[in-house]
Amino acid sequence: MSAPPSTSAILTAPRTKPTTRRQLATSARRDPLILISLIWLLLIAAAIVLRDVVLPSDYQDAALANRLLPPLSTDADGAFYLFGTDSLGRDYLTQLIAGTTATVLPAVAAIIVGFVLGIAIGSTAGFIGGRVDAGLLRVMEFQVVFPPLLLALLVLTSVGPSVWVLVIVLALGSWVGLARVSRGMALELRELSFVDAARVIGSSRAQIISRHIAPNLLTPLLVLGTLEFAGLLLASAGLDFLGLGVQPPETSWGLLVAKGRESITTAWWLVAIPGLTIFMTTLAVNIVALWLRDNLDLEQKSRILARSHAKRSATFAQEEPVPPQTTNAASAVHASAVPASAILHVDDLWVEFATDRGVAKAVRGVSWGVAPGEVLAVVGESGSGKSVTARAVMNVLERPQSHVRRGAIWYDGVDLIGLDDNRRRKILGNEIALVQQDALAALNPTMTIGAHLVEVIRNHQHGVTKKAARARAIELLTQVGIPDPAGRVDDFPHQFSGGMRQRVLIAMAIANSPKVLIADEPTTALDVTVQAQIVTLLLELRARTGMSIVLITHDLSLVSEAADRVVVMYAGRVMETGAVRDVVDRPAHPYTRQLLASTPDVAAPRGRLTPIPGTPPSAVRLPSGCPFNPRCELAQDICRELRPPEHVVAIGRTSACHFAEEVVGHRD
Amino acid sequence: MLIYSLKRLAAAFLVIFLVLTAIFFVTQLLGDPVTLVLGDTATPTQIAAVRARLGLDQPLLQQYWQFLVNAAQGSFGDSFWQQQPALQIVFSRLPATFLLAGVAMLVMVPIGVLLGVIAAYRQGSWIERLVNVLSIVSSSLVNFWVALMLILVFAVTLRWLPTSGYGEPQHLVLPVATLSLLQIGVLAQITRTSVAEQLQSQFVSAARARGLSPVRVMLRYALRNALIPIFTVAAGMLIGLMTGAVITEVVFGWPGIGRLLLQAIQDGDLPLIQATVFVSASILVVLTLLVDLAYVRLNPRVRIQ
Repeated sequence: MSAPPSTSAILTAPRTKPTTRRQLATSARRDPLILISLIWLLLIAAAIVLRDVVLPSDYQDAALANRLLPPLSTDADGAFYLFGTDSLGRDYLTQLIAGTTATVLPAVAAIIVGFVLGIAIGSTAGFIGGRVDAGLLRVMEFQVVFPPLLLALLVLTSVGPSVWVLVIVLALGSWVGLARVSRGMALELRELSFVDAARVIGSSRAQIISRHIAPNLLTPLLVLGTLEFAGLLLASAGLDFLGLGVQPPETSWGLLVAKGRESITTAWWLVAIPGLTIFMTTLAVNIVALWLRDNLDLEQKSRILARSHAKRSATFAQEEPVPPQTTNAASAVHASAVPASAILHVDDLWVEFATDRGVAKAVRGVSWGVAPGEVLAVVGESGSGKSVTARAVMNVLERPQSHVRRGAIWYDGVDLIGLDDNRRRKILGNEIALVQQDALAALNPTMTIGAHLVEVIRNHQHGVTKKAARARAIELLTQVGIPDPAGRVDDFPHQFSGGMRQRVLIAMAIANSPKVLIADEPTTALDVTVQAQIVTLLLELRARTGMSIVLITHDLSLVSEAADRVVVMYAGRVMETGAVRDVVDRPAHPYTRQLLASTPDVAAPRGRLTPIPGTPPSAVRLPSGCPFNPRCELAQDICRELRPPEHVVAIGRTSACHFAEEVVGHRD
Repeated sequence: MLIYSLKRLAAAFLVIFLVLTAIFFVTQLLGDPVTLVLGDTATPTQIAAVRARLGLDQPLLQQYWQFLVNAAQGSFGDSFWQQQPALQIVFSRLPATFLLAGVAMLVMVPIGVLLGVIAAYRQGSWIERLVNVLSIVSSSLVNFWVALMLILVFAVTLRWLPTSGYGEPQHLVLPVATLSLLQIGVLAQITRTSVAEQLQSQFVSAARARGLSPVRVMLRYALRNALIPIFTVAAGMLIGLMTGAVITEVVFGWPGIGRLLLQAIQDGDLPLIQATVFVSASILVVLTLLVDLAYVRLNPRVRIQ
């Protein structure tokens, strides 16, 4: 088939890249275990290939004078026996070498047969689908159900033990796993574009399978096949041991152990050494399988890379210069962004993440405070650090990658960060509670919502009986507007709709009458009418209980509806703060202004929608100067050179823009 | 749910039927059972009499049908050597197999799961490294060697425990240790992976944010949701043990059905082979069915559908 080069390029399935080979080599050189395993397997291969050269012709002859010499001994003629001698006085090392072939080759043959059979059947089933697939699946199921050892025992004794029967029996046990994997992957690959392309240019099914599907399966199958090979080595050794595999006068390691067992009380080495050899060989094969998996499997590779980089950058972070502690002047600025009566006060918080590209500074010197009974909105695009701040307050930063680098979280006169875990837990879920964005993911799928509620009540209110907690749970569900609460309290999370689940989360958050409720994008996953209901519910609860709400959102229309005050965040920093009306009507930061102009509900009265050009910066490589300068329509040279400090622009308002005054005055 | 159960039951019977068919035809290959029973010195009249008694003079399909009918009635005939009903012999060996399987599971599962949980909780600790090493080492160990080495050390050299036998608690120690050494690593590894995965999930951090204790979060949130893969592996191990841990039973002279099967095969004891395989397969099918039903209990999301 002569396809034009461009087509064949499309059709060439992604194969192992040349760098993979280099990576395999590097990792082998770095890890002595892998190196030793490879050398050991080479020795085994040499023992098989060079068998006739290595073995003396009389290796089977008994030398009764030397019976059962222990390892490292010398006989009367001065001959040295590294592994001692067996009950017929033969050198045990020689016996081991002689047994290598019959131990390893049946497993090798079986894995080849199993491999070919597995891939052929699996990819055929996966590719053709339909009845062929269903039929082959049944066969695989039955094969799995039938105990493999039983099958082996039956076949071997019925036909009489021989090496070839052994190979077939072993192969029968190994193909199913390989077939399953290749079927699954063929199903997936069938949908890929290059297969479609092949179909379009008229390749036959056989061609598609052999050229495009089978090669793609090879990498994962290679790993699985290697692992199965290790299993086959053990299985064939077991059959040898039972006398059902290799037959004397041929010898194998399993047979050597079986023979050695007769003299176990007098000659330990006859059992210990061949068994150890089997163990080491299987171990070497398993190590090689993991080595292949870690270096060939792309997904696994990236995971390992990420882990090693994370470690490296985590140590790196220790050396990073930390900006000096905020001066008194800066604190004065904070004072105006933070109400004097603040019940929860985030003070100059820095949070870092270790990523595979370096340290991400997700939150950089953020301060805000929420007064009792106030609704404070924290607004920003994704990646602005608003949710990370909330996670830091709730002590649920992703571990071990991220940590609070500096700063304080004041609650009721106590810095939560300095508090030990036990005392902090008494506050979390009790006095400060969190409502998360994705309610389905935030609930334990194996617990009823009643169990969730009872748990959080009893966790913080000691001495409440289960019965009382359950009554309170039903009352809470009523409060958050769940119809038929008594009937639904024993339902599981997946039995609720998205809006109802969000209500359940809110019920859990208010279960212990918190002083502060942090709602992290509480409405994002919901449709618009439900969003409005949830916001109304939150405001009602605030009015009834007097709790403070920190509303974390990217949705400016929600902010203008629900919040009293707003903190606008960008790239881990606070851009501007102020009363909602002021900020929406007269933004003091170009970012806020551009954000407003890009928000439909809020911008609509003014007539036009303008998206913010560009994308937020990566938290690993931040622009110098003002973080917003690359996207800012007002950016000047000074914005690229000097980071604007957060400063007061009016009573209760701050902005981190060099031109805040101009921006406030500016109207369009 | 009912339809699902009935379907599963039908499939179970089908598997047992297929297994019976397989045993019947495979054991045909064993050779003429009559010569096996009577030895080479038997006279033709004796042989003919035995053939007629065993129904072997019938056509093969007739024999197959008769075999199925008898099997359905729980009869596989008398053991050639022990002169008593084969099924009865198999049943008499079941307690030993079940005892070994039960005790081994009681030792393996708690230790393996505990190791895995600690390894998942303390990532990068020595426990995690231990679990990693253990899993690869234990999947590379060959059972008869472990068994013999334990005998060598604890029975032959130290003389703390008997080499083999059945009936006293100390007889259980070495076989259970052998089975555990081979499987704990795998169990710990699967626990570690699946618990670590659950620890990353949002409901775990949500639970932490509610101020729940780490132990509670681990047990009710992470471990509870990681149970399905752990259960699958553990169930596979249990099934393997209940259908006879052949090599372990042979090495330790444990009178279970695994050793019985090997003996029967070596003796060419046709009815006994058939009865043993039938019982093994039935145990397997029943346990698989129970395991599938247990999944439904483990995963409330399946329960509804």
